[in-house]
Amino acid sequence: MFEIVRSNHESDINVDFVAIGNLVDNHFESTHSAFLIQYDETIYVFHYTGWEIEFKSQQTDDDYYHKITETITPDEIPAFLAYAKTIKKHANPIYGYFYSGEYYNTNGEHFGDKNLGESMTCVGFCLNVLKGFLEEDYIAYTDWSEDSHNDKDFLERFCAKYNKNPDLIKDAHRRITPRECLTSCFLKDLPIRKHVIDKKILQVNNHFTQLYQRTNN
Amino acid sequence: MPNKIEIILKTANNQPVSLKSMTPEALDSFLAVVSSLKSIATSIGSNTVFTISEGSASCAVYAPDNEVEVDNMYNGIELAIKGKSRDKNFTTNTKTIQDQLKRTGYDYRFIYTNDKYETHKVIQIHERLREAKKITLKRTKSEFEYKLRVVSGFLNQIGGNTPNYHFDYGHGNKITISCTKEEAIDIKKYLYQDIFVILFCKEWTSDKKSEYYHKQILDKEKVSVFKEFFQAYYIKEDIVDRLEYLHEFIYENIKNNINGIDILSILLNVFNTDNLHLSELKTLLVISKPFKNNSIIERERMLLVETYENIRNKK
Repeated sequence: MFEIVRSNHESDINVDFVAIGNLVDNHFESTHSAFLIQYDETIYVFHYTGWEIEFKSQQTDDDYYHKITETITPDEIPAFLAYAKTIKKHANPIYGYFYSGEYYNTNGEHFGDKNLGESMTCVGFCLNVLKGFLEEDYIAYTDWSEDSHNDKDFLERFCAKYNKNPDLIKDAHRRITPRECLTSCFLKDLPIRKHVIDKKILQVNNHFTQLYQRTNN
Repeated sequence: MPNKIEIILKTANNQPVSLKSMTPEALDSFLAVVSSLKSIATSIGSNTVFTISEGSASCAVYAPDNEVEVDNMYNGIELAIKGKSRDKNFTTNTKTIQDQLKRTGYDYRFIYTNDKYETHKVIQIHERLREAKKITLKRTKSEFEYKLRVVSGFLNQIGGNTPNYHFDYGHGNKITISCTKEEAIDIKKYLYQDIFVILFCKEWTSDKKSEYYHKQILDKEKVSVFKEFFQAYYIKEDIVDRLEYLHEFIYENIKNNINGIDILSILLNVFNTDNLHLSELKTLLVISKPFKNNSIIERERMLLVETYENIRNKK
């Protein structure tokens, strides 16, 4: 599976793209997801760190693995960069595991069906940005339930901290993992369904397992 | 004293000039220069005022409501003198003025006055313009560039088998603008009136004449908004900078201008063409997405989505 590329070492500089990248831990488990954008021979990283939105050129000490999304054509990359810079300038998300299909728009204003404020994870951030950029919904977010969340008391703790009512935002409380987010880039039939990702993710997991074995042998 | 740019003809054929009695030759020269000054001024300003006065023959342009416009005209002329201008309107008109300034036996003054700051600034443009190399357009890599522009004119002819209309500026100076039959039917109600339009222009870097395509009739009160927008948009050379500015411009207008949605609707319409960068169309779709069900923009946005998808699928 050559399509997952180690950003610092294997990226063809002559191709412009928007990709989703993952950082991995020692066991090659995905811990973070971000956009990697290559334009005019420069790679940029655009992501939510948990406390702020960052837009910068790629640093060599961040070892990303990325997959290019086919939902954005090379001619649309200037539009994506301008959108990213505008979001960086105006938006302000609070860290949370929420994703209810809301999205960033019109200069980084956060649009959503529920009044959650701007609460999200690194994955929620990527999905929101894509939802705002694409004409169609990127992901069928209702396929993910609260059960997909493995940090059980998170909702209660989050609501206590930010003074929100858990009953109001329970529906939006979902956790889509960085690995699932990366896997979504293999798919282009929108909106992307969970069962399709579940199938594809086996190959992606397999790829990282092989990388782990190669590194540890 | 407001800011101004002034052009004065002192002597022609070695004879002192007075507005009260001019030879046909001196008048031709003066009219050519004044007409060029007017073209430069109206491409930037929306409320420019001209004064023609005695004491030799003098013509000055002011922008009482927005003095920055005069400074922008001056900066555009400077750029043309340095050979760095990519704006054809500035280079051809500055060249016309230069030709007259260089004529033997003719003594012209071309002066920019800025009184807004504590120091009274008077810049003698004529000295450098006379010394400068022949004014030409700075070449871009491509042979032509597509640009949207606000243009005004007196509508004195419309129709034909290949529908088009004309703006007549006198002195044999006119432009022909292509349009569709449906547009012609709509535009004809403005026959023999001065109107403002947004045109899609194909501008050649060679001397070849620009081609104009009708996009939209503009209400007078929106003229300055769009003139300033296109001026600021095209002065940026990088596409990403342009698109970032497009985001900011619409954001500010939706937030602070009661006509914000109308302005967005006009942009959705005028950018709807096959010949612009796909990212320009895409950016407008992204910006307008939260308002896609708003009745003012619904139709324009739907049509733009169609064009966008056609271009995208062709590649």
